[in-house]
Order: sequence, then structure tokens, then C-alpha cells
Amino acid sequence: MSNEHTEEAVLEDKPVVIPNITYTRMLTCILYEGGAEKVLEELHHKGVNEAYYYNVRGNPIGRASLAGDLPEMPKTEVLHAVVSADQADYIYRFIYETFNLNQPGMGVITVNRLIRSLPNVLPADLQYEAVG
Amino acid sequence: MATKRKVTNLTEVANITCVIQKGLADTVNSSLLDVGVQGATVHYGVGTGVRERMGILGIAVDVEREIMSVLVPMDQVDRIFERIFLAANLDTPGNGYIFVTPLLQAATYIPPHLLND
Repeated sequence: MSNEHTEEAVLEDKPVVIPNITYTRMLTCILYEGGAEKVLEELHHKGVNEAYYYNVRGNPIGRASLAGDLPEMPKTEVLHAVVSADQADYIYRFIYETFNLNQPGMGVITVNRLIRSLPNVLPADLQYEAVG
Repeated sequence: MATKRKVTNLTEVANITCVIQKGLADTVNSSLLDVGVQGATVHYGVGTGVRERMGILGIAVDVEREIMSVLVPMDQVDRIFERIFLAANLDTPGNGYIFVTPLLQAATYIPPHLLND
């Protein structure tokens, strides 16, 4: 299948400069009680736009299903945020404290080193609006 | 008698993840298949971005994104990274972003003729 955005096509028109940011970390957070939407908004206000989350299912560590043997609506969310390495500790602590990850059954947070990444540039004329 | 099973560990592998506009994953996947990169996985997620206002009540619509992950050899990271960048129009504001995570090891089915090589 042909694609109009091949390297050759772009090179013919004008060269595209592809950013190459190497000094970044990825924070991954498994939140057993959800709430990632709110943190996404907070991260945006702190200048971190490289974040996303999705719903997952599974059994939280140390907790059985609340509905016995019946199927349970999963509340668990996985949040990923790409942050610059010098901000990683601050954002890590912010997420840790926001979600009370020092309490049992709340979640897990991990940090990974990235080798290359790109900023998520948002259109300047459009504002982010949090879902209420 | 049971056959002896063996795990072949792949090293020098990276995971390229891109967060792109909903509906673009098929285009990006086709672009990768054109250069022989197979095995990409796609799922939905909610990202930071433009929330459209709908109607006079201004009801906000969730920012649903497609997230694509693909495992690639470390020596091809730059080439595939740039291909995804171009295919997903990531040089346009609001279209998404991409990052590369190095992996210590990976394993999958490897055809015997490749193993013998």
C-alpha cells in the first residue's frame, strides 16, 4: 500500500527536521482506583503534554474482587508520562503523593529511561479543557 | 518423550511507541509494512490535547488517541522513528508524539531457518 508521507516524497518537497530529544524518562503508573484524567490535567498545567492513559483489567496486588465471583467493572488505569530527566523526580513525587501510592492497594509507579522522544506540541490557538 | 523447549532471547531491541490521532494507526502500520516492519500493536488511550466543543452547551468530548507500539532492532530505531514521524504527520501541532524505550531482552517465535543462520 502506498503512502503519501514517504521519506522520498518529503525529501522532494522540503527537508523535514525531526526533533531528537534524548534526555527523557517515562513514568508508568498503574492506578488501581483510577483518577488518571485529573492528573492528566494537572500535568498539562505543569507543562507536561506527553501523557496518556488507558483502562485495563486485572487483579490488584493484595486485593480480591470486590464483587466476589461476579465480574467487576475495572477501575484500574495505566498512566504514562514522558518527562524531561531533570523533572522526573518532581513529577514522580507529584504522582506518588496525588494517588497516595504509599497506601496499600493504590498502585505502582515505575521509571524508564528513554533513548529518543518528541515533544507533543499543541496548537497555540486552542485551549485544553478538562472534563469536569 | 517431551521435546526440550528452548527460549531464544533477543537483545539490542527497542520499543517505539507513538501516540497519534484516532484513525491514523492503519496508515502508520501500512507505512511500516512497506519497509518490512511487522508486529505493531495498537490500542486506544486518552491523551492531552484539543478537546472539541460540541453544540451550544459546550459538551467536551474525550480526547481519544491511538497508541501504537512496535519492537524494532536497535540499529534501525532512527530509520523507523523517522518513518513513523512522517507517516503520522507528527510535524503538525496536536497530532501526537513518539518515544523510544530500550529493552533489555525480548522473546518471540523465531522461524527455524533464521535460528540456523
